Amino acid sequence: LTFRAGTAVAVCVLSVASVARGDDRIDIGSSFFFEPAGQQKLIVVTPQANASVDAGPFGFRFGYDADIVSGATPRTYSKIDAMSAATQFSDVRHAIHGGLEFRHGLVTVDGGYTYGFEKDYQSHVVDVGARVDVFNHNTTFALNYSHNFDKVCDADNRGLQPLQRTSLASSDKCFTGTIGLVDEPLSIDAYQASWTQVVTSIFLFQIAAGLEVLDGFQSNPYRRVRLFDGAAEAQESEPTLRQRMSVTGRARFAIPQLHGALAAMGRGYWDTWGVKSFTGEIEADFRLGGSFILRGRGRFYQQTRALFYRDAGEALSYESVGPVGQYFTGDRELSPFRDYLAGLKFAWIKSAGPSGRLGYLFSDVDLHVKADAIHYQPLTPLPPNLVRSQSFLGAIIFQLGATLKF
Amino acid sequence: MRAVILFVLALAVAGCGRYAVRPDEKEYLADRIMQLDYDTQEIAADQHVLSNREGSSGGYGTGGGGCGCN
Repeated sequence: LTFRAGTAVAVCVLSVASVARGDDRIDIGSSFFFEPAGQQKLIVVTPQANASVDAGPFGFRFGYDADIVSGATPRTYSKIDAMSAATQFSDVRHAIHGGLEFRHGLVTVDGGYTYGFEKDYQSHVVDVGARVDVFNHNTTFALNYSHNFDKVCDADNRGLQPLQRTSLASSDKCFTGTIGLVDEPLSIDAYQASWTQVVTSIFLFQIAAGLEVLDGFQSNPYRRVRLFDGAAEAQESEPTLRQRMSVTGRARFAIPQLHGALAAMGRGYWDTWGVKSFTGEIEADFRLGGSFILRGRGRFYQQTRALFYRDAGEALSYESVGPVGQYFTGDRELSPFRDYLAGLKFAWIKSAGPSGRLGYLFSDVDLHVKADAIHYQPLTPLPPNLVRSQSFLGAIIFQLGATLKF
Repeated sequence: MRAVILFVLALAVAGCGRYAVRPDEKEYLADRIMQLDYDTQEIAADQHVLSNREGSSGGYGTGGGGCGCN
């Protein structure tokens, strides 16, 4: 479920950011994500297509993307080896989005809308933003806001105490008004402010702060948690309010002698569920000849666990002593872990120059391929993180893409 | 109060950069490899995957940078 909520936010970010400036362009591509994880493997294929058109002071953008997800996951969270109980699942999420941008002098304002849907989740997102370039375009201030009107399909547990709630058995009759199923609302307000500064002819930085307020149903409706030595088994129970805050700093340095650039990023995050995290990333880009760009990057991420999260095998687990307050979860995204990412990207770019066209149509063509590998390092090697400890390669990501400018 | 101080500080630093880089000095900054988010589709796909495997998301910043001409 969190996967789907995050999807809506990601689509929102995409729709805010995808406008080309001063040219018309089409971006097409696809990502392939594979997490081996023993018998709990997960495969996600994400095709994307986006287009943007300039018309005087206006810019229009529209696009489509999908998630084709298949894999296996345990429905019951307990100290019993969850692998043997993993349940196969598959789903497809679709999202369509469009937006309008208006530029006047130093100021740009934009707005957009995204509709995402899948069998058990529906999302409507509106977003607005404003940006101002000042001081000879050396300084940019930007503000963005988005709101999600989301609905989650769930078993009808209204009026029941957490230990009485049952999990959703199937998504087959979701959003049809079937008795025994309900639509639980989830609203997400996301605010972001950023400041980008060109400092010298080879150096710039950006500082951004973000706040997200999630209010509504945030549990996985399918997941059950075993409590009190198996005397109770109830649907996962997470708080309905979560406030996320983050501060991010990024910088880029050009290295003219090597026809390249170095980039660094640091991000601190904390939320009202008690999760704190740090992300660090470095990246190097180099031009190889006139038509090729090679990029390498490394990324580190570490987080603490949520206040109410308990490992299934620990002494104070839900199975041993019951809920933490009224909360209990099997979401491993709320567990303590770190991960490392290393990746390469290779791009071929061709520009027709000011007077010509490539294939009688395009001013620029960009074809690229990238591969990333992720290594997970659970900080408590008990279920549900046990499955992440079974191989050095935690996940791999491949992306293929093309950008065509007219 | 802290936010006000930070905002004033930001303006002050930005003001220092007002004449620091002229348009004719932005050859390297204009290169796509100096753009903070040149490939927005790739960025969105990355954040989509990672934010759904990790317990935190959002607030990574916005596009721009480079030549500062957007």
